[in-house]
Amino acid sequence: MSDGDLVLSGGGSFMVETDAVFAQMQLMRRVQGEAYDWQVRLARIRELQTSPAPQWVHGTVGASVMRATGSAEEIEVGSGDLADRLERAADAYGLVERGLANAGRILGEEIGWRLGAVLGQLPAVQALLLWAAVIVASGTVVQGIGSLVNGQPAFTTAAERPTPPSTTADPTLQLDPRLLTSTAFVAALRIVMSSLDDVQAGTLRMPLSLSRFLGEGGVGIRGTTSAAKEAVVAGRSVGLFTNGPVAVTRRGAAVSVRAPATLEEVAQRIPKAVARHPQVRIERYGDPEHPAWGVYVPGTVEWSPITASEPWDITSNLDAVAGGAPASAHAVTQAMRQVGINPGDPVVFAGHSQGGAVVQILAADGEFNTKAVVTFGAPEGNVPVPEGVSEVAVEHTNDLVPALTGVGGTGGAESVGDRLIVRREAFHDQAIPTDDVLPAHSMSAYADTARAMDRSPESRLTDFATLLTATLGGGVGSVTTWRGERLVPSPAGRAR
Amino acid sequence: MHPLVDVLGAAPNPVPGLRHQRALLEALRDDVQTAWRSLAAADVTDTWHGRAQQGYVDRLEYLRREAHTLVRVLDDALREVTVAIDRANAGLS
Repeated sequence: MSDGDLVLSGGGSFMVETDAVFAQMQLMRRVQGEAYDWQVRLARIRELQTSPAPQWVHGTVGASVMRATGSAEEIEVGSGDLADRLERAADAYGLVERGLANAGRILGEEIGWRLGAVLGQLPAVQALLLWAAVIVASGTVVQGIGSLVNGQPAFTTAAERPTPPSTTADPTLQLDPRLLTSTAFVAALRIVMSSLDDVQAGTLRMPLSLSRFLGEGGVGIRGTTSAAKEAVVAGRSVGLFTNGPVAVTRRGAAVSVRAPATLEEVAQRIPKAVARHPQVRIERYGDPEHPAWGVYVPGTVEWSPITASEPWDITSNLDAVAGGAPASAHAVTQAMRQVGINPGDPVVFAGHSQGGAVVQILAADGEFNTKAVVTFGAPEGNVPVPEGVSEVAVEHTNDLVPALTGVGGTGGAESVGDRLIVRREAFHDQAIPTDDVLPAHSMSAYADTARAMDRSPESRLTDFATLLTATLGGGVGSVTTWRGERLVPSPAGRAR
Repeated sequence: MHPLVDVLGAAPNPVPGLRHQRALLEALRDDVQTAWRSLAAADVTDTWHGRAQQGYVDRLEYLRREAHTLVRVLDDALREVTVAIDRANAGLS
């Protein structure tokens, strides 16, 4: 498999396969069905023969029809056999991937639980020192992994970085984007994030078997969702991650826009996450009686744990992962209501990063008539896919943001229900940019992957692209942009 | 009873049946040619290079040849049914 291939999974299936393999399998199945149909039609043609079979000698229609029937049968058997083999190969590939993910999760659970058990027996100061040692050791291991994957030192000083050229010899140690953008690092991060609840279980002296039973590999009561909930509760007890109501306002007048024709165009329309800029883009198409809507939502704007007026912040991230109601989702809902989207109007959602989590939540909420959802680099939540909604989640294997929610129930694919996951390694055939902290998470990198999806012959992708464009229509519509603000209590105790 | 046999016992006219046969053969030939084109367009040589994948490419090539053979056989059948129609028309006139 080429590193640049699209890898698809999901739909409750155990299969994980490249789009090229799956496209071949679909072709073989189609040819198999057609070859069967040809034999039925040849039998009908044979029935029209006026001469009896013994007279079907070479050079007669009857003889040619008999030869054609044999050939069609050969094609049916041959194409069916190839389709079966491709299916088994894809199945085996999926099982290997799932096996590796599960092995990593189980190992992470064991290490995390034992670490927690040790921490639970130590006085607080020693426990903190041990934590620090573990973090340093982990950093060294990760550095080694990064060196192996990238063939370069994982940590460099600013003066050592080749691009952009440094004008000052700043000796400050910086994390190299090439480390954060390595598939091995992201895979390790998934395991670490999945193990946090096991560290806690070990500290609380909960038996490992019980921790596993309650965790992501078991009934799923504990895991990244419960860890996020606990982080929110703990943070709010000390004044962090506080939430509040939001208000939205339209920015500027409606302007004319042509409906997107490709997934790449959809990706490019997601607003950039920039402070004080509008966070919601809403496009309206169709006639006044039958409007259709496209709603585009960006990623996190503000990374401070101290809640401020920006709803696209880390508090909303935690609320989304914890299964709560993020302020950013409230803001999008308000904008959709204010622009006049009725409950029956068809809606297409697109979101990047936190925006992806938000649009999944809104689709599951059911207030609007969601037809299709596409997310880019969104945290893998456990938000269910509603009946009648097509969802595609695009993830780069070297983007750490989707990995922040851990390994998932059984390797990531099955836990997402009917959501189709499209995975690809960003920058697989080019140098990783060093002027961006998380280049594989950037929307421009995801737009490249959307372009690859547009080129793919895989039917699930072509069907999804057709659904998107058919829902929005091919005509000209209008676009409005909206900005949401959280109403933060002022020092006098009143919302401002 | 064969559908072309005259219910009155007279010698059946084979031409309508042969024409129907030709129409069915033409439609089938076109469909098989479309499938052959799909198989011919399925180029995986840039994607796969392993030994197992080469085996797949070989099997795919075999299917392409078989589909092409089928198109030729159906072409033969079409020629033969056309000749049969001409003969039947000549015999009737």
